[in-house]
Amino acid sequence: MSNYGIGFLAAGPVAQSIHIPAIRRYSDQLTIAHIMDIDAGLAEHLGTQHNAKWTTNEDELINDPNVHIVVVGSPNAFHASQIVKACEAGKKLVLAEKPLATNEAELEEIRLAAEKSGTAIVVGAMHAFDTAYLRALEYWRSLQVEVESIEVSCYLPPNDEFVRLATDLLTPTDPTAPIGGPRPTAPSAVAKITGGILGLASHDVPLIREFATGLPKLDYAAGLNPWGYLLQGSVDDKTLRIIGLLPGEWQPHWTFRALGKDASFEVEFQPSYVLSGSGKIRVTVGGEVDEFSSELSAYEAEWEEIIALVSGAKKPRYSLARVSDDLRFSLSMIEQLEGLVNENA
Amino acid sequence: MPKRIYVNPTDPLAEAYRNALITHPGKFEIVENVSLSDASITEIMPAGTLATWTTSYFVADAEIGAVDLENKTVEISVEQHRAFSNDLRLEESMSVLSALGIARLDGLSITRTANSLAVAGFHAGSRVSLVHRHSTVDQLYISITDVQLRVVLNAPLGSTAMAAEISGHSADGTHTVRPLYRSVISRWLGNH
Repeated sequence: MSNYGIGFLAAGPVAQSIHIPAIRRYSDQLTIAHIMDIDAGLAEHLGTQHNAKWTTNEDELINDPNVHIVVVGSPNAFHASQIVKACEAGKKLVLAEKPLATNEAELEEIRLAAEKSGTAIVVGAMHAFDTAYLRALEYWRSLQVEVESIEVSCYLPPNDEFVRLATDLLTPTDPTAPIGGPRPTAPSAVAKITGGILGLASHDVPLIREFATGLPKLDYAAGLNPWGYLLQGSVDDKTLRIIGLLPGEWQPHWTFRALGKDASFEVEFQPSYVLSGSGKIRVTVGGEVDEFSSELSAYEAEWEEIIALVSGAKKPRYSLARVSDDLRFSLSMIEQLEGLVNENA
Repeated sequence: MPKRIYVNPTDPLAEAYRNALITHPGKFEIVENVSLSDASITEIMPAGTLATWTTSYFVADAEIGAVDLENKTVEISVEQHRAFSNDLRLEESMSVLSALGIARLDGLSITRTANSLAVAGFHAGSRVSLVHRHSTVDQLYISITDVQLRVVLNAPLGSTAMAAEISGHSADGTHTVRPLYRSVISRWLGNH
């Protein structure tokens, strides 16, 4: 059995709390080969911990022949260029944390590079790989029923809370240095909602697009306090509501629902950073309820997909064209924000 | 002597009325002929719909005042199996908001699709969203959230006296759940 080396571009909470715990389950097939972070102390500490090389230079990692899989977990602005570099270096696969890119031009650069190199691109929208969700979706498709309304309702404690619960995190050696460089002191409401769409909401878009293939038309958009977004409108003549809110230390609540008169598809997700099984899915048709769940977490399922792809055992579940269209759905919402968001409200 | 009540069998809530009336055997008796009745159930019940009555009881049970609707995120779903016109959906949506204590929404947005309707807007610094739609299950969901408060209602809007649930989170993270086993129709009949 082959063993594939993984290189992490950024050594923050996503690498430490999500991917490294998940891939340790597959240590006979996956090896942590190289860690890169702009914080040398953090890169060295994490690299040493996992007997991997470390660097502060992304090119050094990308050109490491022992790295077959590159995990792009850097700030959004660097995703596209790093993905393109990984493709040009002939890597087998890139796991790009969401968003895949931030605009159409970057998408095109990624497409050209990936098509030329044959590099597989996987976007880290973990719910889309949840095995229970996928079984439920297959069953749903066999029913050939329609829904009339789609919604995501996501109330989560701040990420730090889950990271702290899940992992004894290695913190930056320079705690005053913000990850990804300096941030705007007072981002506009549009900028904050844009961040939410390209961030948390990216997890939901692949699911929404299983039930509506068109582009969304937003009628209402607002930022939520202390952090979050409310997006409301329609897609394919179905009402669409997406709420993402990090309100406080509340019990997590993250649901996806696609509802019709005679059938519904409902998912209760595990919160981010939690490796404790799949989401719980209920498919209701004509009063009959089928429930789907699995002991495999969505993150682990994502890595099983990656192993299958790099070993050539299967073709991508989500093509680059498909994940690009998912991003276009998000970009479409962002384009509509300017005319909808009341900066003074 | 129980009051004799007639329930029109074609009323969409007929079964709900019947199920509620039989929880007060000493107070009400169901009769099948309007000429034998002392009153029709619709004469006894207040104006509104099951969704608005349920909302009114939620406000009372959870002791929601005007201050609890300030600077919050308010998420509401009214889901019913039977067909509604969008005009009726809008009317009921506004009635539910009113019963909750939101008389009007600033910057009101209305989304209409073939079989569902969504409204959104601002109220006292709160972002408010309500979707009124078809579903396999008749139910009302209301969530009022900020950093200090999270109160949620999960209530059936069905024909039986199923349990509603009010859950809350205090600022220290304590989660409490309060089940309510009596339908709002039954509660109304018990008090009037």
